[in-house]
Amino acid sequence: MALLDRYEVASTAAHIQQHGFSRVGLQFPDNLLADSVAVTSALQSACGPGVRFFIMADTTFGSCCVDEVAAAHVNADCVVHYGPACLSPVTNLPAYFVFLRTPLDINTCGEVVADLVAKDERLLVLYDLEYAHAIPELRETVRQEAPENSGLTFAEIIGRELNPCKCDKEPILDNDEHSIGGLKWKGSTPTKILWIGKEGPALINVMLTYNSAATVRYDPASGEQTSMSSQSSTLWRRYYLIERAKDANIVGIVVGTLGVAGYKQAIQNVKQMVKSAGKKSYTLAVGKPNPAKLANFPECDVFVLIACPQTALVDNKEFFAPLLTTFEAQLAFVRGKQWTGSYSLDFRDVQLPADPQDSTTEEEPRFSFISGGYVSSRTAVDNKDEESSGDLVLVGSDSSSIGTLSTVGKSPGTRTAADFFASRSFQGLELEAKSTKVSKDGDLRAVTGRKGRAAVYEDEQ
Amino acid sequence: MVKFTAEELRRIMDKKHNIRNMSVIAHVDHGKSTLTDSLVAAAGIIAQEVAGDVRMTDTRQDEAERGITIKSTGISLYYEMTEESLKAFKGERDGSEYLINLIDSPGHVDFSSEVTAALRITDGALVVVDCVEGVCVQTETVLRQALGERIRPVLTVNKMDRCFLELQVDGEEAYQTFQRVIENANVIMATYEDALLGDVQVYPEKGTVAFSAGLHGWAFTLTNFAKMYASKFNVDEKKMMERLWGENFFDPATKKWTSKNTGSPTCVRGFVQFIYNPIKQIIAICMNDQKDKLWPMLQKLNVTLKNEDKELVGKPLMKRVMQTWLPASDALLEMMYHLPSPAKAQRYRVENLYEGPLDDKYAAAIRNCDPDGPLMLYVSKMIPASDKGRFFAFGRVFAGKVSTGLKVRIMGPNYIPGQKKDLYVKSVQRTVIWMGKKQESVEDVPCGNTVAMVGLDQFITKNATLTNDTESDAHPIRAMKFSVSPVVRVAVQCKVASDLPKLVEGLKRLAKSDPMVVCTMAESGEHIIAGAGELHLEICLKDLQDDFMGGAEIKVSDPVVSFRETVLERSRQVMSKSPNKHNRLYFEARPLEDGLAEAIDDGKVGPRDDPKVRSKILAEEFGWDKDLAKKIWCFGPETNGPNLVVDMCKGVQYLNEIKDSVVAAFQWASKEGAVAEENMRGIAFEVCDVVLHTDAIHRGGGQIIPTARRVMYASQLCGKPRLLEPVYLVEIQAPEQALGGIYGVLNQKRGHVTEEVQRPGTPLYNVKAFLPVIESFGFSTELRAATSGQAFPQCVFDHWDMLSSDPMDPGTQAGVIVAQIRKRKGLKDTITPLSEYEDKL
Repeated sequence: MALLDRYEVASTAAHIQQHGFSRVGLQFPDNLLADSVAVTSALQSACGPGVRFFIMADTTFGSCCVDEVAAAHVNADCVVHYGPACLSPVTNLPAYFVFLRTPLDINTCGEVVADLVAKDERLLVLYDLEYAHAIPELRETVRQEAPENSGLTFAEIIGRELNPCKCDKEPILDNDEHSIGGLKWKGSTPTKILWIGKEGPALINVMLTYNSAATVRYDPASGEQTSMSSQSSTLWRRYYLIERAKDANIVGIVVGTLGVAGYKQAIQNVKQMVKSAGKKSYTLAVGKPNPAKLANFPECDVFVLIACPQTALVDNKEFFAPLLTTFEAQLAFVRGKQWTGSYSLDFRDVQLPADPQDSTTEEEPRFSFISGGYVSSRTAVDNKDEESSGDLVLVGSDSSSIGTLSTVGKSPGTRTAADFFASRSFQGLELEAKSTKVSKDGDLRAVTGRKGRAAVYEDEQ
Repeated sequence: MVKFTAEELRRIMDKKHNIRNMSVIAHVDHGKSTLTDSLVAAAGIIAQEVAGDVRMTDTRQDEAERGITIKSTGISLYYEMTEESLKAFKGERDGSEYLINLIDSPGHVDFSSEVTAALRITDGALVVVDCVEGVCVQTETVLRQALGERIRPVLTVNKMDRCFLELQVDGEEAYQTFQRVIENANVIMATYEDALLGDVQVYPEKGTVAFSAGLHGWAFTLTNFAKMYASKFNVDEKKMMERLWGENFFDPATKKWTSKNTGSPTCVRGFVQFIYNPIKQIIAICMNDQKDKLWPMLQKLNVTLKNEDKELVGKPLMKRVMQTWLPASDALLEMMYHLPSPAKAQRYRVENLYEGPLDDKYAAAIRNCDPDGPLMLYVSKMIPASDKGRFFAFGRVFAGKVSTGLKVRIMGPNYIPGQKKDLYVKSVQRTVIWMGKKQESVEDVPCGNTVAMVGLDQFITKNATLTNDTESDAHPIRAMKFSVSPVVRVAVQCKVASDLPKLVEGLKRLAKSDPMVVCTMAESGEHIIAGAGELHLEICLKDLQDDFMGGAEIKVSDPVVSFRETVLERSRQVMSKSPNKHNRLYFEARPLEDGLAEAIDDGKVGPRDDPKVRSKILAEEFGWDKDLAKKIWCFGPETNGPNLVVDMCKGVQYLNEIKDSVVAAFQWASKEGAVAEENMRGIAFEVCDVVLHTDAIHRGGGQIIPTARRVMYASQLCGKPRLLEPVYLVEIQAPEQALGGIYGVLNQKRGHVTEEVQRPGTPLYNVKAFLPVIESFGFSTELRAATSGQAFPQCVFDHWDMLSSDPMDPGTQAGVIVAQIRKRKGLKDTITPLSEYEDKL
């Protein structure tokens, strides 16, 4: 049974029984949903009637993370996650990962590794998790050919099961210990990386984090070896977005995960950063962000997406306002921080500045490269006057109702959503008589509306 | 040179009637700096301690190498008027000591922002014109700028030595040339006359025109000669002056003055007889070493040479004789008293300067140049200080006093009275004045003077208005208007990635140090420096690397020119559906009427106009329907750009609800057009019809904004999109034999000549041509090569010109440009097809 083998039904069942889980959520990514029924029935027969299985599909956020909210709906006590994963730590539920083994040609791959090692003294081998099963064997093969090469490092997988993290902080790693995307290794920062697997967010994550290292990708499916072009253009683009975020007045914090451990703390951190930078923040939970959803918040000048490392990077020009990662938000909003070339997509790498108070004494204007001049940076002192923003709303709507606000578009003085609302020409249902200008002939009778489905109304057929 | 202590200098600064703030303006290479040097040599104030120091106008190394001025430099001069000339002086004064603050400004068009900054803080201008080349394009530009600021001009016809030595023209011809130069200048000045400023034209017979030879260090006004002859002929000095210019002829045979040339061979124009010919004679004698003839003549003129000078021969002798006889400094300094004092000038300049109501106390203090009034100070530029990274804020005190330790309100260029934006309160750490090259701290500086301040540089980008801490009602002083704009851009990167913080810091400093340069960032994250021209950029980059980044290496891209996207004709009606398919927007795009985009650029039509006024202009000048003009939703990009959204719908439900979303989408789309993400220009988007979902939740911003953007792109692509490129107006002056070379280079660079005129009385031709900015890089070098250095172009941005080829076709010229832009910006190679934007029912 190739399918059962691939989905590791036996070991999964053993895991479930060993821990005595009784309600298990099986999380499938969309492309594997077709196999879900077969896998479930196989598991059911392996575990017996004492265990109930639930299929979880259409994940709220990225399918690489454990969807704890969906699991909570069925009151599951464990989640089995299938397919590509980011192995981000979980908050509440233990999870078991099945990476769907993909065969790896040990011999050809071993040759590739040996070749590279011969050229470069130091090489770090990273891989898509679906090849994890073959790595020990690969290591042995290579070791036989090139025995005891200290420059060659194989990353190890951090584990197939994740238990809820007690502490918010990352377990402190030794100085020479690295961990990224579910892989870990010992050694210094890599200078050359071999990636075994497909292109995808996992690889992008690695390349941005170790952006000074040269990366070679070996695709086991085609057997081809490609040298990856540097990510510097992506980094420079992010650098621009950071600069733009510095000019933002209103920041939307988009919650992009409800499962990765520490996300609440991360939201708090970003809120704190935004506040001490004298800006206003609003927290939004919209599921998977897309342009149409976020365009409903045109008052936001920039969004900060809090999500796992493999879904955090969104660069799509269709969005009305750019989306930043937490790390970038830190560069943009914490005064005195400068980009030095290092990069991280993991929000747990971002800590609040040790003393958030010291920024309040700064009232120096800041040079903005977007406008090409100095702009005043607002301080916490200024913020106090605006705590009474209730007045602002009233004043705003008053003035617009007598039509003094003729200009549209966001003025640079828009500091809060209330300001923005006040500057809109349409502010919701207008109760005054003048708002019923719709029909010019003075006909104000109620008329029958359209009928049918929204896509094609009856009168349009 | 005059040796002074800071205290002595400070003492004269209080005499507001005896101060003259003056800028020296001219076309490039007409001899401003040389002339200034001779003034400084004679009257420059230096600190007592550094008496041995010789070179005052110690220029930057690159200035010396290129032989042009790049940064304007300020120098203080001290001049004691003679009793004689004081007699003629009618205005208010306070003793006979005069303090003259002179600012020498660059003549190259690329640096005209420096001139603008200099003009703001001066009340008078010495306009220098080459007597052979005459009034040139840059003379005209700066003169207009000066008059616009209500700066009173005096003129000097320079390079007289060329007349005598190089061209050897006879008296009458020379007179005609000078007369034409003065007339040309007066034509420009006459248009700026107003009641308060009075007649601003210049007249030799009134002493407001000098004739100078800066290189040889001599100059005269008619006064010099009038004085001399008045005693000789026993006539009134004033009357003599009048006879020495214009249609006054003298016949030595009959010893009679006539107002017409009598035709007698001995009848000569007064100017020629009494001024031109004597000078010519002396020069000739000196050059020919006829010393036996020279000494008696000099004796007659009361000129005594030092013994060692008597040994000189030829040109050096001539120079020394002329310098002793007609010292340039005397003639030019004497003209100063025709210029207004701060007290006099501020009376009429207040209208130009002050933004607030002219009847408040700040306006009154400026008007009266009141040292006891509230402080009104305009910072016109930032000058790099010797300690790295710091800047002096340099400006002019218009009212009150600025003192060390004073707490000042700093109103930046974006300050709006009553708001807190761009407003800081800080203490002045030190007030400083320049004595030659040396800076001296002084306790305070009263109104009417220029001053440099330490400790404010973190709060001022380029310009600001300062007032007392307590004066919260004060309005700022009007921002300066520049005649050039930063159209040439390059991207800079550091060679070593870890130098990035250095680059960022360097760019901040560069932005401060130059009134015109703009440092921004491109969407691709590259740092962009924009300057007025190739030369300007070159200087900025040099400053950046050497001075502001401590020599860290940078990589500079090829110059980048920004294009604009427009449409050639009205598109068909296109429709796009919202993501939920429940809303449909129908748009059309059409080109704006000829001239409308320019009118919007100039602010003649804009978002803040009274709708009635706007619709009147649109109806009368651009043939719009009156009602339609009232239905303009917005301008863009940046809410004031030259593109429009017009509501053409009739009876659409909920239309007012989506207006904000459409406007937001339009600002976005007009900033990044569909072809190459360049700004749009001259497109009107017409909202033809809109079908919206009855349920408000389905027609929110999230549904409308992306859809409106798509439908605008679709309509742009359907309206035959075209690229617009920026075009320079080039002015070239060259002798006839160089014209062939000029035409050759222009042709090769897609330029076309619009005008070619010979300057009357000179062998020079003036060629005007249009030249695409993109072709202009290296243009001056090639031109110089093709004309063996005889032609020197001046380029000013003039207009946008349409590239006729289709940018959608990758084979055409426009298509190639689009491909380059897209590559640079990191976009997909091909333009997104229409089908991505337009939906079918």
